[in-house]
Amino acid sequence: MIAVSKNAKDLTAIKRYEDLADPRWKGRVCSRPGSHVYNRALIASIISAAVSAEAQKWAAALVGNLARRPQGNDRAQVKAIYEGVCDIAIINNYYFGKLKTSDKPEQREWANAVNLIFPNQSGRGTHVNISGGGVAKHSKSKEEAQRFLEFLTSKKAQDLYGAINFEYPVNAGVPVSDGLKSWGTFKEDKMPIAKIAELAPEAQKVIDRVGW
Amino acid sequence: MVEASSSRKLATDVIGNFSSTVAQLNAWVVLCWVIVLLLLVPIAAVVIAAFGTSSGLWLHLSQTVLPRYLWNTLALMAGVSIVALGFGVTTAWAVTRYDFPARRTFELMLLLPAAVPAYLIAYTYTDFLEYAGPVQGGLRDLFGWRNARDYWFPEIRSLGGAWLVMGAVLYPYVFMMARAAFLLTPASYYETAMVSGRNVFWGVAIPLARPAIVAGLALVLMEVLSDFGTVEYFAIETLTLGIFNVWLGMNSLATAAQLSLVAFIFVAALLIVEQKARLQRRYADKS
Repeated sequence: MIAVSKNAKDLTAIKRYEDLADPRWKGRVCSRPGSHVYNRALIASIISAAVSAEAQKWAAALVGNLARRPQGNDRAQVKAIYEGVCDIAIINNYYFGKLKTSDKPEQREWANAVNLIFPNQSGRGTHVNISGGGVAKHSKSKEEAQRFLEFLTSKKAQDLYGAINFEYPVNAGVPVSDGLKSWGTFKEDKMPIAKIAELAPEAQKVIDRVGW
Repeated sequence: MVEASSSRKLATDVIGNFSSTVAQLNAWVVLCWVIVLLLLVPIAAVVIAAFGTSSGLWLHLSQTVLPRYLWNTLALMAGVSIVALGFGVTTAWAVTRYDFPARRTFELMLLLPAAVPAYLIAYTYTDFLEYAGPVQGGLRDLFGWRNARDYWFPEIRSLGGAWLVMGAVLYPYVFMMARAAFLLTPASYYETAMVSGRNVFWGVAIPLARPAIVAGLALVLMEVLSDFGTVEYFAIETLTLGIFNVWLGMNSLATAAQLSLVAFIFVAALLIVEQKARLQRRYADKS
């Protein structure tokens, strides 16, 4: 999702990922390197929604709006907004939750400096990353592995994911945690995860071309 | 009779000794080969993987990121060289030529940074020097600046930051080699230089220690080439980072392996430099 500074009042105009390409945000966007898997997956989703050339135009414009060389992790982007280096960043919301409930007071201050926007709500929905699991084809303990995966999708484990790690449940029978609920509900991009993997190499090419 | 038996005994002893020497030799040779092969396996695996098809990725890489990867790698090597030489040679000179309190302790302590991985130092310096760290925080309090837009402060997560961090951790290779070379240079050379009014450091010490210093520097640069942690944290797109992007981002093990071979060329060049330096060293010792 998109994190924006609470101090800047003009940022309500941002409704979609595509809006980040607007030249009015020049020098106001922070991001981690494009090659990071989160950004690569996001570009893959944009390629899927449009075409590669459009995605590249978007990425190039986004790079043109960057306030500083892409660097750091998701928390570092929120921190940069707090520091006044930039006003806008794309982050995974669970890092925001981690900061908001951190036992370090300064990290809670970083989180308090930003508002969150669920992008593309009137269109395809917000891009979603997953925590997934699988069993190796040659595994010798398939049954145990399956039982473990079943545990991970059980109510108990899913509640833990939500409460501790601020992740949304994949098990439809498990309610969204209170912490997450407080940020509101949102429409998620239903693009299949396999499609992201398929488009990842093309996304990486886009990243290389625009120098993100 | 007695003579014959003793000479036979001698003969069997000699043969016995010889064959046991051969057996011992064989055991060592075999052991060496086993170790060598174990060390070569991963390199061979990279070479074999490099034979796979790169599906046209080289064209893409050469048109986009490859020049950047090469330039950043070379720039990183150049900058770390300057820092490592500066730290390593000057400290080695100080502890070998001058006497001062706690000199012995310094001699040992100066080696310690080699024990710390560069990326840990990178994390530490970043925490210390970044906006939220004590240095900038202190400056803001002192001058009443409110946020990052009120003042300029060098960005630690940068090429320059990497020079400093990696140089500070890797200089002991240069220090160690330079120190040994300075100690080996006969004091009479220094005295002759002083008597004849020549600069002892530039005129004698450095030319004679140069092969050792170059050998130390070659080791430093091999470490720089293989570093992933620091360049990843500082987001400096070097060859090593590129290998990961191609491998995991483009799912092309073959192209990643081919890119690794480019890094190998750098290492091979450094090996040649190091070997040449050592040959010169022998020459310097003889003279």
